[in-house]
Amino acid sequence: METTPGAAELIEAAIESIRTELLPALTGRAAFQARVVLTVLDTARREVLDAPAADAAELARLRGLLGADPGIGAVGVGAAASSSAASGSAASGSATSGSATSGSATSGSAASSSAASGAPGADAAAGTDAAPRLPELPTLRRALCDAIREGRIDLHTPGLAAHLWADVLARVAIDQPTYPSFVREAASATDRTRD
Amino acid sequence: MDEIRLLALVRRAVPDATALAGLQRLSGGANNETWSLDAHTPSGTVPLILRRKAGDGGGIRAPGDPDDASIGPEQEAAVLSAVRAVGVPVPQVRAVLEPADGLGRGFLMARVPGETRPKRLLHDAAFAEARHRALDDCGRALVALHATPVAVLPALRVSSAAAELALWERRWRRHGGARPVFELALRWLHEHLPDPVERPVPLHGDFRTGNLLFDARGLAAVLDWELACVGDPMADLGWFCVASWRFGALDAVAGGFGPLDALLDAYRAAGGQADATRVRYWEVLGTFRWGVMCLDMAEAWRAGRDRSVERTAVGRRASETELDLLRLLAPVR
Repeated sequence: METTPGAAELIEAAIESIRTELLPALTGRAAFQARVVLTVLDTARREVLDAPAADAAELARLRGLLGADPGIGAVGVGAAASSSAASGSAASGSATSGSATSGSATSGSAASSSAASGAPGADAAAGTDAAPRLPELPTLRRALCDAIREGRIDLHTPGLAAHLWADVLARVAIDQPTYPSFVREAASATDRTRD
Repeated sequence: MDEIRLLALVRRAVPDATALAGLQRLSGGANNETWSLDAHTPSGTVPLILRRKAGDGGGIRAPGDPDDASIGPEQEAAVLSAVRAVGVPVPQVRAVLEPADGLGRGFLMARVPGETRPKRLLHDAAFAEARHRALDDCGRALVALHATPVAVLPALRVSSAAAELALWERRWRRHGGARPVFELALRWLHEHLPDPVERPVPLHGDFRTGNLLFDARGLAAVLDWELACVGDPMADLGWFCVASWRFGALDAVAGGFGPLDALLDAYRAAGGQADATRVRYWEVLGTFRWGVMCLDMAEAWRAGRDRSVERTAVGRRASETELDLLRLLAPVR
């Protein structure tokens, strides 16, 4: 069994030390700075734990969304042709992934154990083969940006709004899970999943 | 901070000052330092603020950046004096720094007692009355500013929705990022671009919770005029409504203090002409603008202009603006 601390654990140790050992000894501007450092480390830790699943879910949705776009052509949306069924499941899976991500922001141990269980994209939404294909992600994300910019894809395009919502909620869950707009929208996304 | 030079400066404004006390740097702007100090005189204490440019070329913008929209501190002091004369609540300027002062560029002004920290203003019981009056006070202050003849102010950059959109789109492209929500917002902003206003008016340029100082009775001073310009009056109202300035009071669209209609009513009651559609346009553009500003701060850190860890934290706030843009442009029904 591997016992060396991983990146998330190292960050967790640093956070704990600053919070319990350093911060109580600091005042004024130094204490303010230490709190900013904690904010940054918290974000880094959430990214280590949650970004792989968010990336994989984003990639799965992008394949579905862009498969039908003629402008993508040579980008090589590998599984796009066979993905109309897959994209349906990716979209519904991504909603689950979004709420799981936001949940992990408040429940560290659950998040650690899922990350410890291994592969980025162990989340069902990511698809089993997501990890090796992630180099596609920046290309497809850029392709979506271009398609929106050129007017080939807009909010009337089925799946675009759902993709953007799932993606942005997963990113803010990492960047700033206490942001009021996020707290509101993550709660209503969870409610919709429950309905 | 050289206290001997500082005392010499203070004596220009307060000739009988004998000593300084309580000098401390307040946290605040990214491009300017704000120092609080007291001048002792035989007849009592004079509370002062020194606002000066961050030293050593520090700041968010690269030196000489043609897209830097901020005015210099000398011009900012002139704007403060001009708008104070027409009834906008602002601190009185006491002295403008000169090269011979050896303290950099900036100005000395009266320290107005009160609170700027948004969470206290929006949530503490001590400010209940101030909150109640906030939008009426803001409406009055904005109308007084917007009614000011451009000619009484120093020459300011003339802006418009088209120019602002071009500027912030250019800044965004320079970052080279791929954020689909920003592209969606840019499409919307181009498609809904409003006609230029017939008569551009003086604008604060950064009118938002955080730059407004309140005492227990209401708005006491509008601070931080470094982005003052001339343009569509609704730009100031729209920026005030950007969700990032609501600090937990999410549904109080107008700066966290109340609904948009209450702000528009206050603006009209003070004699201004409000246009809700334009305010919304500027809210969307402002939300995008704040997102790009967050990326600018991360870039200032990466380029070595400002290595404070806070810049990286703000950089990660860009995604909050994507969420707020989705709430504006693709609300979930």
